Amino acid sequence: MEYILETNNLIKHYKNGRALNGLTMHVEKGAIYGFVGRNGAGKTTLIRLVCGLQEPTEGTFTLYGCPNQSKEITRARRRMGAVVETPSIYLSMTAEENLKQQYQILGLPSYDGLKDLLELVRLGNTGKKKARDFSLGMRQRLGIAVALAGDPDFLILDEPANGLDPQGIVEIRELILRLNRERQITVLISSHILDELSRLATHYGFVDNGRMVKEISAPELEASCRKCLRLTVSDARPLTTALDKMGLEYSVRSDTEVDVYDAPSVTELTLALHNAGCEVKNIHEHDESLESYYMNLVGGGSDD
Amino acid sequence: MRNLLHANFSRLFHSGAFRAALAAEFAYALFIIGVTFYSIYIKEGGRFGLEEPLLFAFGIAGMIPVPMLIQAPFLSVYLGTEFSEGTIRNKLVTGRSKAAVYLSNLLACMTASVLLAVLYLALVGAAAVPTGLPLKMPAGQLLPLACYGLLALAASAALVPMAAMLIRNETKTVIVTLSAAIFAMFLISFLTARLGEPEFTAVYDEWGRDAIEMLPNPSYLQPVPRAVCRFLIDLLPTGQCLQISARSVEQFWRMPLLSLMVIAAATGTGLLLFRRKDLK
Amino acid sequence: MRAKLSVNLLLRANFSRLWRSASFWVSVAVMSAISVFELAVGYQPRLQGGAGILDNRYMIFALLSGVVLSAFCSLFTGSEYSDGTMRNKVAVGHSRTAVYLSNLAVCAAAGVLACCGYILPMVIVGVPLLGPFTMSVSSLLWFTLCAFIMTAAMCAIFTMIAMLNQNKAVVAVICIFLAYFLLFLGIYLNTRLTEQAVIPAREYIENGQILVREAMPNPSYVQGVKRTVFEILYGLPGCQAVQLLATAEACPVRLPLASLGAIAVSTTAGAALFRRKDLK
Repeated sequence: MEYILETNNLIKHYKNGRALNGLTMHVEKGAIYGFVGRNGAGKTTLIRLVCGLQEPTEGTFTLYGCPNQSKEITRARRRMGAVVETPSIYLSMTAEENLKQQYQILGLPSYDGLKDLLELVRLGNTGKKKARDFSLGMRQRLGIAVALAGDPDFLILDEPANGLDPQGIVEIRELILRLNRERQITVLISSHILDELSRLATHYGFVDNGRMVKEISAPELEASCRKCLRLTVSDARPLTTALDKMGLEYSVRSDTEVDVYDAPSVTELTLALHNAGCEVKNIHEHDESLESYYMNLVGGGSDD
Repeated sequence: MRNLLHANFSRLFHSGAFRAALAAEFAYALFIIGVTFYSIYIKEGGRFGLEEPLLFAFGIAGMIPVPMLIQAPFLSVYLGTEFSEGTIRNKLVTGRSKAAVYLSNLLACMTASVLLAVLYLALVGAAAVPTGLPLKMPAGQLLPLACYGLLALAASAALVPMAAMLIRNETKTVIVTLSAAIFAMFLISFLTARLGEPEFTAVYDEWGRDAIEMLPNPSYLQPVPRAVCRFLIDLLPTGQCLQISARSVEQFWRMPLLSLMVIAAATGTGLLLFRRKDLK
Repeated sequence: MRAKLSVNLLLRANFSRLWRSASFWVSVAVMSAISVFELAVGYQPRLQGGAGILDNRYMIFALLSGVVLSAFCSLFTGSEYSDGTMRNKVAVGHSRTAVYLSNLAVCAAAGVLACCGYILPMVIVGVPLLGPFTMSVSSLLWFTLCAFIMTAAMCAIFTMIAMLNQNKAVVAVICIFLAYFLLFLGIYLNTRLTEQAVIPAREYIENGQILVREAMPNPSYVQGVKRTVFEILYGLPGCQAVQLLATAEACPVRLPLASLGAIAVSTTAGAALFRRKDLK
């Protein structure tokens, strides 16, 4: 297996505590790696370490097989693009000037492709407007364009959906998928919008308290998640009695809602409920795999 | 308005900038206590009394307006943060009027400025107790001077909300207000020097002993420019503070009126612009 | 193909940002405005017949450059932190040292260019208006070079402060105060170091009799270790500006050497600390 990024027991201390607590992760080549965790779990800290903005207190990582202590790491970073936390753009410059800056920083021979890149993130018609006057979503998109300027093979996006409108989210998703499929760009996305992430990611890493709780591929996750049938009824008690009789596994969500695992015979179940005088108001197949998987994994505590 | 003021003061007392300003004022007071007490007691033997270090609350001997140099950056950071971090929106979206927001900021700034000076006065006063340094200026003269000085400090603090509102960027506000404070210092010393030019200059004999002739001094200011110069020195809060610190106040009654005028003009302009300006 | 990363790329990017930077043009404009003001002030004595006026007016830029550039450096370098764009450079693999050096170079160049904003009006308008320089061309060029190197040293110190502190407003306050502090320190040191060792004998007349006062050692004369320390401090960038003005015709080589030393020390220390710094 070829890994773009491998971290080994990374620890990062700040003055007011540990942000990373022995984090180990593996980002496979060609993957869209969803990096999931609550606020303060250490996602941004890891990204800062990988980008070279900070040095780990302990532990190591390799980027394209190049260890972080080696001098070659800067060359490896040349193949990477990142948006860390907030978009890194000069607020006093226009979108085009910002991109030109990044082209110069990268030493690109010409500004060819600059217009295409602006079109790609839907900023082609911003003209002389300064980034200061951009909406949050426009800044986010400009930040992504800056990250893409160096034509990276590895793209790191920290909460890319922040501040984007629904259309923007869809466009960014399609952009990421296209970059991944057409240009084989490996993507690391940190997010806590699980629903959105589940439409993209091929691999997941769940972090909590600065530690990797679980790394899993999307198919494995799918397999390990059970689908269920969510029934809304007038009274849950006759339903549970019936389910017990049929020997099915279930969980009660409320007085009127029950999730039934396995695959029950719906006809049999509704007949039994009819006999017990219980009305079935709604049945649908429920698939909350990623969210429930995450909640089971890290628990539903508060953000702090 | 009460709530806004309350919020402003609690932010003030928690702000690092205010603590830095307190530390600076504290250090300044210690420095002045050390230097003036030393010179009064040991070197010069008491030409002046306690009033000298006390009135240095407003500047060093008519030369350096230290309180302005402390409060300009501090108040700019304190107010500039509201614009830079966008927290001013929180006040407006909860239905406070722009006038209330502006006035509560203004009051917080003026109070902070006076508090810093009061801290200084208290420290110097406390230092005078064990050393028994006497007051040589009658209290009836010192008290109004100190009050006018505090008013002038408040007037200079009233300029900061206007600047912060116009500039809306913490760092640029700091640069502008601090540079303005330093520029005012040079301007006052230049104007004071011009006012001090003698009307005639003496021409001496070849041995430099006796004056043989008196010539009119071309740098001597004529009545109209002289009055303008005088007015500027009295109008600028820095000019007032420096005069008080040097105990060289000439037009006693005019100073508080001019301070109030500065406060009114700055607040009026600031409010007008703040009302019109779109916030992000 | 991916271009090889080098400082050149960062330099080019930084310079293209410099030409667009409003604070740079404001700095140049301020220097030019002061230059024009100095010319106007110098024009009056010229009408009354005075020599060497242009020389004196010309050299003032050495005193101003530090003060004007303290604000510029903190804004220009500080926006890399506040806009977060420092990350773009580090994340694509530019070394921290390269990032530091390119910022230093662009600030130093901006410093020299701002000085040119002062020099050009002096030369273009000043010579026809006030008559030619009385200094020789070589002295003039040597003085200018020394002043440029000192300006670059001031910028190196401001860059160090700005690169090590992510709070732009705090950086601005520190840099501006430091610039003025060094300037006043220079003036003070100049006064102390130019004191004569011996007060010469003097004749004076009292009650019609000519009396002679013997020569005596000057108590204000600084000597020994204290003098050495004063002399070293007098060579610091900023303080040095006063010395440059005082020795303009034959500025000793040790002054630019001291400036180069200051650049080396501040850059080595600054770059080393910046390499270890946690960026956000």
